Amino acid sequence: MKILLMGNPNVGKSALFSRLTGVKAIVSNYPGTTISYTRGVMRLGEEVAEVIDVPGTYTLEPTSEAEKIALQLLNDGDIVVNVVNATNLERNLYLTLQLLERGIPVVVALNIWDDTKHLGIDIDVDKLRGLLGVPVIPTVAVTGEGIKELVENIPRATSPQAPARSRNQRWAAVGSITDQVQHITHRHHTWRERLADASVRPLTSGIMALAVLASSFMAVRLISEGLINYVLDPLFNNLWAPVVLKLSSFMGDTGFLHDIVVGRLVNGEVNFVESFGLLTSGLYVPLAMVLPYVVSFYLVLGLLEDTGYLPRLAVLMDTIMHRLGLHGYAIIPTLLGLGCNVPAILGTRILESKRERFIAATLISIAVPCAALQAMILGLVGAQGAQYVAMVYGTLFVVWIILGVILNRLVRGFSPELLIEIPPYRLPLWRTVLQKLWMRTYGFLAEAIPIILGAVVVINILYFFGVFDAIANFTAPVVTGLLGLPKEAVTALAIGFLRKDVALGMLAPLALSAKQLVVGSVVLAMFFPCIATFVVLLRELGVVNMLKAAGIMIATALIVGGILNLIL
Amino acid sequence: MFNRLSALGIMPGKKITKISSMLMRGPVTIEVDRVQVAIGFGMAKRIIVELD
Repeated sequence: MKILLMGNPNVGKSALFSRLTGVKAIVSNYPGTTISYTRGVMRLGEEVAEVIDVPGTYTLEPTSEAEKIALQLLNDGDIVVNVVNATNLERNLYLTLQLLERGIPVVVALNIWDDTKHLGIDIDVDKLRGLLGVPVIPTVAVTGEGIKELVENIPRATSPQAPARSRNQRWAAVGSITDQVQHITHRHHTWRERLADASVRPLTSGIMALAVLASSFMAVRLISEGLINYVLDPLFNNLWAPVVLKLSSFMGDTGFLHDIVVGRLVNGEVNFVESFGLLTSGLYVPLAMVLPYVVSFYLVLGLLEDTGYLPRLAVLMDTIMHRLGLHGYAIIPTLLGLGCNVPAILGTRILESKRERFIAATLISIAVPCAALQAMILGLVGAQGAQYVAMVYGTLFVVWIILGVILNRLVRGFSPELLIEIPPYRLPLWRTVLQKLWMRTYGFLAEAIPIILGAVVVINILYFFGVFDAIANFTAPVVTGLLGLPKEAVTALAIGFLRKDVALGMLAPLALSAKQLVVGSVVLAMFFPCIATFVVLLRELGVVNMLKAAGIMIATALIVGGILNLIL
Repeated sequence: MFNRLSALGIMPGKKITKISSMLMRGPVTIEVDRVQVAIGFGMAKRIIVELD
């Protein structure tokens, strides 16, 4: 049996999904968090049922890619749990009526029930149940209130065989139902609502955005540097280094196998960045350089997502984003891209047109460095001075703007207008924030560590057989002539296809000047997506557009790298 | 455009309240049925309202 969780965007379907199945799903406070569906199973008496968390949709007449997915899923579901935002029946019941017309058994979860009380909304649940002809259960998915009753009522889902209506008849029916079941008492503005209004007004919104972004950036740095300096570096240097050094002398200090496992010793000591063995750089790069940054970035992002600030940032950014051929909502996948480009490119599905998705995905994979790469930039380039880090970020930002303006002129098609629901501000719940942080961190570890370890082995083998030297000599005119990097740097660019953090780490032993590090970081960030991003780009854009995007990336990287080499 | 707006409950005869608008032809934020919706300038200017 297939149970579909369906409802408008941002009504808590994913939170309910986690409650029903125990499967963790990303929950945030903005419409469009779930862009693909998630499956899980739950026990219903004796039976085991499949539960599908369907992307949010306002209507069964799809207006975006995510809504098309929702419609396809509906065709092979058995029961729909229609999740309804109890604080906004006027709009949510439209989808409910559409579902009832489809003749599929429905049970309604009246979610966010806790908010109705302080908003002064009084709903007569029994009357609503009678008017709709299906079970209606008040729930609070984030705390678990009403979930047990909802589960008991899923087998009682019924299809009242509602007659097909036209759009106007349906809205009229929604109006008459809400008039009968809902009573609203007036009340005063809360401080959260005042803050909410301030964040979409021209002057105050700009000040708020600066404050939010600056404090987010500071928090990310503070947490990640704290973790590195006080936890991970001491662990690696004081506990792990002696162990590896013992192993190194046991293996005879040198040799093919030694170089793969331990790497090359620098002045008889283990150098976690430069040694490049499985047990040295292979562990240090992902765990002590990248992980702290990933954790702190996703902690801060999770808090921002759950407060409901991001859609307001989209409103503020809308005018600027229009110049790049996008609208304000594209800022959300772009911010996700600062964590990892893969979910960011998937996230471009919230944009309506193909043109926007192409522009957004191309800009993200060129000019938005992921957390892993940023961690390495902060670590390696930052060691030369903060101004060089600023140069890297500044260049990427300028490229993002200029390339966006160019793509806006060249790419055919149209970009629709911004149209988004702005959710109320909510205080983030620690449980959701930490659960989301854990899922994303675990995702990073599970994906990054095998690839990083594999890359270390491959790099050592290729070095051993002199493959890199051959490539380096072949590409020397471009790498040395155009970019001003030593010819060995091409190996790093090639490895960038596997993982960019390892690739940037490969520049460390080359003793580059600060200027060369800036050029190297920028080119590495822009040149080509890593393999994970490449696969998603291919799937989301198709072969032809992927090739176009790849061409743009390579051309931009070489042009910008060349210019940087000349002017720095 | 009509489809997208009506999906959000913005349709002829509905009472809407303007909350704010961004500078330089930025989005207009309105409130309809206690929900705030931000609408791009190009779309917003084609919504004709009657003052209460």
